[in-house]
Amino acid sequence: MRRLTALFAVLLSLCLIVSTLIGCAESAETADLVVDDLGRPVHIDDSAESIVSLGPSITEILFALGLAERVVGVTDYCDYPAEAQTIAKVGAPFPGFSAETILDLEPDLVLSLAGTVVRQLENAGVKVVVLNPTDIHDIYRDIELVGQLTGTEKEAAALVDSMKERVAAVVARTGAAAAKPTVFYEVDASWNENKPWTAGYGTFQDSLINLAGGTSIAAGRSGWYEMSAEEILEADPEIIILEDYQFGVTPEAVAARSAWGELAAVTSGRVYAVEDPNLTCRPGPRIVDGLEMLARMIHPELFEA
Amino acid sequence: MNQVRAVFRSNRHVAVLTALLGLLAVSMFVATILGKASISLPEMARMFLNRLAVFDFEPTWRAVDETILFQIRLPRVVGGAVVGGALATAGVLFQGLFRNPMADPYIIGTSAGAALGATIAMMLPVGVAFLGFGLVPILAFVGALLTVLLVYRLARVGGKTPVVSMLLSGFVVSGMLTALMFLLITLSDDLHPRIQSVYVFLMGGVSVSGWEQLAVVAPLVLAGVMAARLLAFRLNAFALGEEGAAYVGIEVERDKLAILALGSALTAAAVSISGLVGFVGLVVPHAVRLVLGPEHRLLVPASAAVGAAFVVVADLLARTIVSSGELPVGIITALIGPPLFIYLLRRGGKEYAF
Repeated sequence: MRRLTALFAVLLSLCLIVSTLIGCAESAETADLVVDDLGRPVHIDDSAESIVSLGPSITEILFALGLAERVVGVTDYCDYPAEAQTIAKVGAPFPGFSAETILDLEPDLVLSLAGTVVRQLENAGVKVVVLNPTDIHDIYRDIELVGQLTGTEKEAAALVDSMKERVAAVVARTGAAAAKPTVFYEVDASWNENKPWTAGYGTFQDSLINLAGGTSIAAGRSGWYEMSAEEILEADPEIIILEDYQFGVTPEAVAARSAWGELAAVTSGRVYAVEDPNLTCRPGPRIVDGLEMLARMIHPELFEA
Repeated sequence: MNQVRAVFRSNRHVAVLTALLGLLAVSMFVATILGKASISLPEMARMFLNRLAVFDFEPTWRAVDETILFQIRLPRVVGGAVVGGALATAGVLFQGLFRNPMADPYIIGTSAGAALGATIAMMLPVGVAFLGFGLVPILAFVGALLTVLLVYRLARVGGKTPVVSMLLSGFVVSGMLTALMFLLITLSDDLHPRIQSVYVFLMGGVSVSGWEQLAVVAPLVLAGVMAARLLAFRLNAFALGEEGAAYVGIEVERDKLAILALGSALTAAAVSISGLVGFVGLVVPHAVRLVLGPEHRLLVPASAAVGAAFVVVADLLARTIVSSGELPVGIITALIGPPLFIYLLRRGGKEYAF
């Protein structure tokens, strides 16, 4: 699968090179050619005046760039910053956005996470750019792309610089730590505590745990998956982080699970609740807040005072 | 034989079909004028007249209103009619062929094959397109047809394909393909971000993204419904059982294959633009049979019209009853279908002749 993706990427870049070469003869415009996260070409002009955001992370980027007034539509899940909730709602990716509702807002730019409505909107003549970040560098790139599309390159550069600085500050401390404690990151065990969902290799949560100076015990497999309680007990993590605190799973509840009481994390009292899961799973500017939060959980000794 | 044919031709059929096509037209009209974006009726009328190129009204509406009406809403309405007509017709074909009231368009594994195909498509990079179709509809279509081929092949023993072995091999092949689909969903990282898309496909929703797809699917389905009408006499003969059908001069194996192929093609065409919309193909033929009787010359076209109107209305509800976004149409068909059907079943207290 990865090989296929790689092949696709190679073919795509070949196409791009060829099309750029052909384009050079015609006009200087193609010099602006960049691609979105699905590898689709994006025409850069900074004319976007009314924007529909189809993802909470995208809404956060737009607000962070000071574009609140140009956002004419958001998803049902766009709750940050609070004023985003007053903007017209266009639905949710599941079960689906209404193309009519989006078009009715007359956007000149729709920013989407991957979704089914893209083709419909494009057939209707609306410019759609897909942002689909898979790591923190993609987030930087996406913020810069949004900057280019809206004429806020300076704000975007400043935002990315401050994010990079804060990440570097965390890494400077955690990199110097004597040890990398083992971490179990519980995404959801609210309906089956014997098989908690966890975030494996390649997920945002996993890369944040690494940057925060920890080692995830779930990194042996990629993507989100259910890990058996047996594996968790065997790995005996030093730290347990509960993203499912949002569903009512508390550190006390974890200690009360049969056999979990003897885990190192439980006996040493290092079971932490994630109060705002959007910090760790929303690929927007606040991902750095999430990193700092995790670093404080994993290495409290480095972040005292 | 000619005498038999003459008995079935009657003015009643013409009257009933005219009424049902009227019903379909009314439902499509209502579904066209209602939607998330509010466009006034007079404006809509003028937009249509402008399109006919005879009139030239000064637009008092936004350009986007025209886009919404002609590029988004109308294709949805037509798509709903195509899906409903195809599924109901396929339902009649399979129920008639298998002489089994539980038969629906998905009974011999088309649903499982389509779902597996769609799931595989969702694992692959986005961007491949053919005749306006993305990879998902294409692989759903191919998956449905390949599954039927496999089931037919497995059920074939000594030059015959007994109905029972077709039902059974359809059942086990479905089960296996479904398990394969869930295995892929569980193991593939590429699918995790799109798991909700898989889910929406399984629940069904009319998802045409413009006229290009309909230009392919609609003629296919229309031709399929007409072909099914031509097979009506054979379906009536199959009601006598395979032996009985052979006695009235039916070439059992050949016609079985024809009915099977037609039903599967109709189902695959519907699934390619709507995912797995449930209940239409099961309940509409029964409902029509309850009211109009089991004669296939009337049952085939009547079910097609009723199925089309049913999905058009269900899709109208799916895209308007929640305040933002949309519901999968399969949820609506399965919620409003059963009460209507139970009402018909219990009405008048007469026994239902299948």
